[in-house]
Amino acid sequence: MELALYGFAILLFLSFCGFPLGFTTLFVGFVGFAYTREWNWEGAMTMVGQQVMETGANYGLSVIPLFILMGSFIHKSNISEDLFRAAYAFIGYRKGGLAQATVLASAGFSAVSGSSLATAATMTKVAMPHMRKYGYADSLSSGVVAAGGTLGIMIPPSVPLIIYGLVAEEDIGKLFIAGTIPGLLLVFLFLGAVRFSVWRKPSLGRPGERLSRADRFAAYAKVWPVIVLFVLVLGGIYIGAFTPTEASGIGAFGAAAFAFFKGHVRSFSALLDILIDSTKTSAILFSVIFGALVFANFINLSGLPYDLLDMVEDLNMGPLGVVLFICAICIVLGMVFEAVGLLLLIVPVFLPTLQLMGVDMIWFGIIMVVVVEMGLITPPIGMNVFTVRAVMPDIKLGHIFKGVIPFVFADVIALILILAFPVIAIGLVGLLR
Amino acid sequence: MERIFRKIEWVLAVFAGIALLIMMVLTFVDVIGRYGFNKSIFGTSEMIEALMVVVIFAGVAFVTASDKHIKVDIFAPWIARVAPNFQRWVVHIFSLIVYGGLTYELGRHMLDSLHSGKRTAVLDYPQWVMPGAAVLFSGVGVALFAAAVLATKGRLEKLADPTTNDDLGPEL
Repeated sequence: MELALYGFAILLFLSFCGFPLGFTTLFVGFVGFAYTREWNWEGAMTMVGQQVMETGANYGLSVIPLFILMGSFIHKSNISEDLFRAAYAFIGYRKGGLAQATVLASAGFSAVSGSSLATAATMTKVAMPHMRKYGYADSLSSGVVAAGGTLGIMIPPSVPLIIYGLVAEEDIGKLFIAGTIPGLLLVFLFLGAVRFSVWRKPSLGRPGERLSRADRFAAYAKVWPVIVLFVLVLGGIYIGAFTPTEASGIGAFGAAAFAFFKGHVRSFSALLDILIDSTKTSAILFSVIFGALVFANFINLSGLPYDLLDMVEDLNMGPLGVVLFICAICIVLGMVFEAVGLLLLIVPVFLPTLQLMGVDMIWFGIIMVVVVEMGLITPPIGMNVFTVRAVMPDIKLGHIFKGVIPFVFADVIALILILAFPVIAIGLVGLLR
Repeated sequence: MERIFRKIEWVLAVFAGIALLIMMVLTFVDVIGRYGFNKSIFGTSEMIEALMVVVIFAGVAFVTASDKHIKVDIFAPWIARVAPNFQRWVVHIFSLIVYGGLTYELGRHMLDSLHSGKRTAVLDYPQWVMPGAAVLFSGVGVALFAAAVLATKGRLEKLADPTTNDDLGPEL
């Protein structure tokens, strides 16, 4: 076990020193693998080559670039404004209603974009001016857009869930299904967090104007493409009509058609921008995935899973104790690592032990995503908080971190509920398939 | 000289982007054909595997050359204060060695496939083509990265990203 821990420590140290995460995990995994095979460099080289080639040319993994592409098309199609209007029409007239509308619009946007940062950046541009117009406190308004963005990594289609599925060798369709109820739970808890904030201090968010029935229905009518796309992609997976890979192709094509008909992607250069952006993001992810899979091979060979299992049995921790221990590590590391990097770093280390203990890996995946989600809004490196700050530089970072506190509590409540009642995550999987 | 490198990088990005577009259309048409007309495209999965190689390996090449990989940077600012230039050069040389080593191994993988003479199961093309494409893109990536490091004396942030976009669109 010491060997794996040394490897992990070296990996953390090099990462903290600014070495690219993908190359670092690949390097540590490669050297560790060679060491465990009595300095068999040849074997380690072959393992790296095969792992990278099999991953980079994998039909099933085309789901990652295609869902990223779908998100890029949605992002460029300016649907966010329509979503916000619809959510405002629904709930904006209540106390803190604009902030609640932001939560709903973020949920809708992330359901088809699958991207946390894109959701945070977009909703900051769309919702912040309206909230400022109604005199909302910067802490609440910036906090809600930063936190609302995190819904993107839980509500399917979610790239972190796909990546977890890849590393844990779990069915991506089942993970998407499992993410649905926890995603909705988070939406309700975030709505509750807003409600609690304005109940405690009403001056934080005044109610907006109530729209006429005709205006409300006009606003709802504009978001049908998002609903159609969401139902098509997830519904297709749920009823078993498409595989996740096929659904990603359908979703990306539908999003492209939607962006075209909305008039936002009608030139070759606009299309090329989207394609290059999506390719860039996919390549960044794959370089980390390559490294994580090589590192996972080293971890497996180091004997860590069995040593951890022995340790857990000696300490009488039980599966739940181990999961809580992993959550604690992730919460600490989530303060410095970004979502996917953290997933790829932690999951390979603990996965074999959890499998040996009989932990439901779909449930564990959902827990990991909730924990990783928290890392996006907790200091010192809350990526969504920085994104909001980048779009609205006049808001102090401290105000945004203060504003996300109720939402961090909401995340903690969601985590406790999913830990205590696994049915929240795995219930739907059993019902539908 | 820098403009030439940037141009090559841009060509790689465009190449990968077009491959992604074809992948999307191919998947869509295959699914519609299968469910709508009971007729799918022959060899779709192998075509998509080949397109994945272009998207991912050409993508990794230009991401590396433009220094866009995920980094954590907790100690980096402190190290940079204590030993200016040191951290930058060590990180770049490390990246170059790892990326170069990976490219070398992909090359060996390609030669193994070439010598085995094996062909793919459905479309019946030589199996070495995919690792060959991966080596080609990775080789170009290594060369571009080395050139960019030398041209900027390790200050890659000085280079304009040839594929720059103005927003945070596809990030996660």
